[in-house]
Amino acid sequence: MKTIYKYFNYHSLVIMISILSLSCEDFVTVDAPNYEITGELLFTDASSVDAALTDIYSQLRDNILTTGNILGVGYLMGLYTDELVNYNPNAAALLFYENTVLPNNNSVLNFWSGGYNLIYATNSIIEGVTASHAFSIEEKNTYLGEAYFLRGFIHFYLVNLFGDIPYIRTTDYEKNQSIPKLNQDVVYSEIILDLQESKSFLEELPMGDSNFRINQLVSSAFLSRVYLYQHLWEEALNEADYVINSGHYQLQSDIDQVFSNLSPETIWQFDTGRAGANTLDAQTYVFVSGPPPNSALSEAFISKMEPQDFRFTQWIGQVTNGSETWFFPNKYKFNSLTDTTQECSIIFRLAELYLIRAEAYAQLGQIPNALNDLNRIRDRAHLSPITSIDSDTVLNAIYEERRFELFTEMGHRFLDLKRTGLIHNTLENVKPNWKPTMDRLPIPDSELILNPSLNPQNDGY
Amino acid sequence: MKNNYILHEKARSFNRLFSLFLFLTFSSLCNNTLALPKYKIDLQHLVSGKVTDSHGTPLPGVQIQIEGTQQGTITSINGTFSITSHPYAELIISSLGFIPQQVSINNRDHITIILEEDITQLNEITINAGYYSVKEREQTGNIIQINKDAIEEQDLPNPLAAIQGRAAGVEIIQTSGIPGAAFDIKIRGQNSIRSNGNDPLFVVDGVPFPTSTLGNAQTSSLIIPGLGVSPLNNLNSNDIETIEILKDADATAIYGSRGANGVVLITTKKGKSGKTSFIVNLSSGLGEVANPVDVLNTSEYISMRQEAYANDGVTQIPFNAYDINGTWDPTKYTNWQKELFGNTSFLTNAEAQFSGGGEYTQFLVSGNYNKQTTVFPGDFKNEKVSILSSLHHKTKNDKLNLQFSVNYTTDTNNLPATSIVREALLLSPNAPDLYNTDGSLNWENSTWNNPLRNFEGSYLAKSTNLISNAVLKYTLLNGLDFNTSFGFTQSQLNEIKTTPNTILNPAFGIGSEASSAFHNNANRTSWIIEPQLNWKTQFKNSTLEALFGMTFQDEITNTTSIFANGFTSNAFIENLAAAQNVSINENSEKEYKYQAFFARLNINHKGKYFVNLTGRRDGSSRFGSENKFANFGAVGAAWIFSREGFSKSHLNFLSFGKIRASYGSTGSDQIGDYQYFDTFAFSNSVYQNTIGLRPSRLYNPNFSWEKNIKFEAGLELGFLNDRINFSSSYYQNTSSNQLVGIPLPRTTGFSSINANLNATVENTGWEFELQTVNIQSDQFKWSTNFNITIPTNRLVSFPNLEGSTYSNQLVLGEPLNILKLYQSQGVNPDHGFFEFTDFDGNGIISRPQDNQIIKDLNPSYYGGISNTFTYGRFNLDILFNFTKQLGMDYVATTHIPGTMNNQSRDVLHRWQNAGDQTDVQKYTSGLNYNGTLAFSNYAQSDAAIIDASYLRLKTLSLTYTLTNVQNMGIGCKFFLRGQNLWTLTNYNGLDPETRSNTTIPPLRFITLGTTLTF
Repeated sequence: MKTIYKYFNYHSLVIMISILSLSCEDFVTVDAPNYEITGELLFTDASSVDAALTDIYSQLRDNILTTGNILGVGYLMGLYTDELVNYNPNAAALLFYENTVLPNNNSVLNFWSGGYNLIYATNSIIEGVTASHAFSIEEKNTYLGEAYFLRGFIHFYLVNLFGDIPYIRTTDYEKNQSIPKLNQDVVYSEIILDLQESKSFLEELPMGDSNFRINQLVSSAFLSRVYLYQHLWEEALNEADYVINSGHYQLQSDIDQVFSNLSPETIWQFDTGRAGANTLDAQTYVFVSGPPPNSALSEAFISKMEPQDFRFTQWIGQVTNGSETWFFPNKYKFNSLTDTTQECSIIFRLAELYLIRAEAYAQLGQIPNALNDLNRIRDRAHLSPITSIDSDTVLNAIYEERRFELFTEMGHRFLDLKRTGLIHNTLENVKPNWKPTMDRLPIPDSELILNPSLNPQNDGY
Repeated sequence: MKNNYILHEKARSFNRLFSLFLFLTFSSLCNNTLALPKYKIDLQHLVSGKVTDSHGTPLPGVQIQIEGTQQGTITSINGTFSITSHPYAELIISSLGFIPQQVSINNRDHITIILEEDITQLNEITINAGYYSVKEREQTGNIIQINKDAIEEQDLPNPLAAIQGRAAGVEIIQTSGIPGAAFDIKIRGQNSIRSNGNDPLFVVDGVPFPTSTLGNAQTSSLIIPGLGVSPLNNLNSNDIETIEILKDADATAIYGSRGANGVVLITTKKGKSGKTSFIVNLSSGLGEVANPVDVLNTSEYISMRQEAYANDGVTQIPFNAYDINGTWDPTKYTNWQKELFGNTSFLTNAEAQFSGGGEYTQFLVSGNYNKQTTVFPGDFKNEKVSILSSLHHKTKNDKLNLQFSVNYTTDTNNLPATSIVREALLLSPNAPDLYNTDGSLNWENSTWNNPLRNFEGSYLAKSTNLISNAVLKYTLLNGLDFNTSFGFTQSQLNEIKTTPNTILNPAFGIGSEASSAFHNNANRTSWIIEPQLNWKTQFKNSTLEALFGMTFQDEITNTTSIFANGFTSNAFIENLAAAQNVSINENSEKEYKYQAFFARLNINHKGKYFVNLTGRRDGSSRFGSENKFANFGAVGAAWIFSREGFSKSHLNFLSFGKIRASYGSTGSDQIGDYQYFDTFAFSNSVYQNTIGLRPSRLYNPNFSWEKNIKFEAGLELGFLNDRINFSSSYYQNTSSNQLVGIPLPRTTGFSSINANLNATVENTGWEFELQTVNIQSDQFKWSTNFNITIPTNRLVSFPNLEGSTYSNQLVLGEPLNILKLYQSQGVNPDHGFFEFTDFDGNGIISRPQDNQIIKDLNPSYYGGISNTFTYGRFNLDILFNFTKQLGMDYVATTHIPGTMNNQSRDVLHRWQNAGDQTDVQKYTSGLNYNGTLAFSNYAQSDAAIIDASYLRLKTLSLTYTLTNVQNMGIGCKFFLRGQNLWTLTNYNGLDPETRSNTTIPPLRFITLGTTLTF
């Protein structure tokens, strides 16, 4: 009896252990997480690739570079130049307003890291879709067209903010961690390559007839802007022509409705994501009592506007406390939820294309054509037409028109001052700390340390 | 014999079935064995007796055992006992804290026994080493025990508070005085380059207790430092019997992959045989911020601001300088620290414990209620209710033992959504009133952000926590035990952070449709099964103990976080159904699986020579298929030379002497789940009704365990009959194959990638402990415990460090926790701004060329000293802890002196005129670019590093015993306790322990209470 008992325990134990040891490898194996999708799987499923693409759109809308909130290029570079005045003494934006941006500035790092994080996402889509056999050629072309466009689009903002930067076209971190800077002209030509690629992949018509996504016309519109920045007037003219003549868009004659989500002028706008949601831009700029909690339009800006300019009454809001009056950008009017969405942040609208074409015409000496386009915009704002035939006068009139047409829209003022070379002369008298080297932001100092190939730091920092 | 053989055959054919049967129905087998016949015992002689201490006080609960048998009894409440035995049998009388005695009955009917108190008690202390236990004096490794007396003296709910200053080699930092905040614990320094990979393993009653928070950074990060409510907060200190800290390889290798950073074993209270006792414990206390920062008053502040603008050449004070341009009253003064975090925190604790049992069954049930309010204005508080119950039963033949315990806690933590400490420190002293006359928040025409806007939003965390375990132990043969421990834990956390529109300036004109709430609901369940075989046998002069066991563990964490906005009224802001938009931010299930084999072999030869071998083979789901398994092991040895003849004859001043050493390996798998998968995660962004997918991380499937080799040598000595005990240890821990997120430039898309880095980190150190009984008389006792740790942390090797992305963070041969700083040349007497050494001579002060100065932020030594005095009915315990370390100058953590921010009074020594020699630069309003740059560089220079050492009266506890339960039938004690009563430091910020100026420092508490025992 006792022996049996002993035997059971001894043998059963040995057996138990051996059975269990066999199952160990299985025991510590887990399935892929249920809240993430593996890269392999993602690129076999159209709706997943779509989700990966739209995430880039929503990041550009909510957090990065073109966002309408206080981290965006529109707000910070508006303060940095002469559009906006900062009233909040504790805001991080104060450093932009006072032009005391240092290489360890957090907002600068946000521009940089946010931008390159999205570029990584575009590259992973380009690589994944290219390698996948799960999609039709049409599907592939759409995905690639959008991804190439977005890669160029993000690099465009980075090259404008930082000057010479690396152009990232792979997800391989071993390459990207020591990648050197490219001269900004080379960066521009890379952007142009990506946009041409994008244009060739995309269909002309907007996807599902909506202007929330990139189509061939958006690519052209952006190409037109990039050619303009590169002084490639003919090319800029052709792309602008293509968009204007496509017949899909027309200037919104009622100036109050230009920023409505139904405006026929809009070429590309960001879907707000949630029903009833409106723009972050309105949340950033609109206030109802003074002094302004964040910022207001500068005296320099307001005083230069022609009194009869209709944009002054329709696109600019006023608040007064009896003794003082403050003005704020009121292109986007709804700073809170509404029953249905009324406004979306607009990235490209037809008015800019007219102004691009006007500038290209002027540069090519076709003054009457230039005036024709320019005066469409002036006319809509109830301003008298420009009649001068002096090309410098016309060009300056176009620059001034851009200032009042495109104010606080995703940093146009900074971009225009910079590309036209007027930045230093314009800002040195209105911004006490201004120095000529400030047309570039510093490269984040942590980046120079982690990747010494990014040296030297931009001049002046 | 033949029968047996047949049985063998049969069994072999069914062996698989049998083994399963055995494994699954172990309990039924146990029941069968209960029915085995018992030995007949001769019942010959009834002896009764009484046991007292040397003062004649009766001792209850003393073990009386008949030598050579399992038979015995315990004394009653008045110290009496009776037992039947052979008339000439020997009785062994033992009780914790007394020297055991052996008494011959000698055919007497009544015996009186006086037990001598054991002064040091050390001989009797048994240390829990997790899978086994060991006598303190005979251990080969290094395990520190903190007993319940020290734990009970703490008023804070987190049990780690009790370790601070009491355990050599264990560095504890309270991260914040906000209820629910975590304590940082580092056992023997930082092993991993990754700052969040250094947590020890916590085990409660044998069940691993995950201490990573379930909180979501979006809900709690603005109020609680780190990653939210600490799960350890869910343990009730008063329910803890002992805490053991396992430090060296010998002690930790049996925990294998999770032992690299040490192990903390928490054992809850258990019932004891004897009279049923009922204990009630009530206390309440008051807490406050002890050392506010000495900031400028209004006139000093106003003149600073005016001087700043004058320095910048600005004559017309700008429109937005509301503090000095006439908008605000220039004579108004508010002490913002007093106003915004200067309230009194009330602490209430009530506890009842009911315990008792007989020889075979013991039980304990206890309940606790704890409430702490905050120092913020407003009705914020943390409330906790916990229940512990435990049951132990053994059969009469002592073959089957069952231990069962359940610990359940619910905790409700209601805090403001945002800490306003930094805002309170920086606010202009002449800033406007907080409230309008009608009681609403005053925004003073948008000229300021009212700090109380932060309290419009709230943070509410409700958590419950269950830890249950059962241990079944069955004696298979004499000396061979089989036991299985089962554990189950469940933690639930529901957090809501509300952000009503009222936190915004009304000037934005935004209503409650912009109000939002973030909900985070997380649930973690885990189970563990650990079957084990223990074998103990005696050879001629040696005792051999062996252990073999297995672990199966599974842990599942479910998280759902929800963002809701668009409320019709803020009254319903916590109700998801009242929101116009509800979106799910995260809905995930994470699984962690873990499997191991472990073994131990211990040889005790003549009670003088000890060898201990431990090992573990571990598998973890956190690694890819190539790297799931790894082996760990250690050897420890000890020699008690005071038990040798030569020592007794030549070293007779020694009452105890031991040398010991251990060597072995442990590992770390603290990298998080699923990190080796290449994935896209759902983002919370919606675009065209599609929820976005975002790349989760840079992908590396090939990382594996971090490896940690530990060596330790120790010497333990006792003098004057153990009235003086001294021990010292030297340790050397080497961590290699570092599992880190290697920082990458953002051009890669991310900031880091998980990989094993071929770098080695070494922690060495000396630990000394001294325990003395200074005075020992009938009336007065005085004993002292002192410990000090001198740690060194060093990066030993790092191939290609200069070329790596760590080159700015680490330096070969230096500690991990360093800062690379500019070298300040002080404030230039001519222009009044800081200047720095331009090491590369390029005219620009920039990293990485010019930050060549290295400052170590690790402590150079730390420790504690406690003194215990007993005089009659009074008992006084005083604990000081101390740390020698550096910290960041308060001024360097603020904004530039001269901007619209209040400052420490240290800035009054600023540069004013050419020729001034000072260490505070010229005021600037922020408009001077050079001044701004110089200050920014100053904050990254050696001039910003100051001494942050401190000596703190951590705990003072005075107890008066009015009556004790033995004499009066009712015990009554009163106690007065203080925490953080006094601090000696040169540090100029809020607190040298946290070295932070953004959160509430550890509070000064004074508590009064009483303990009643029935």
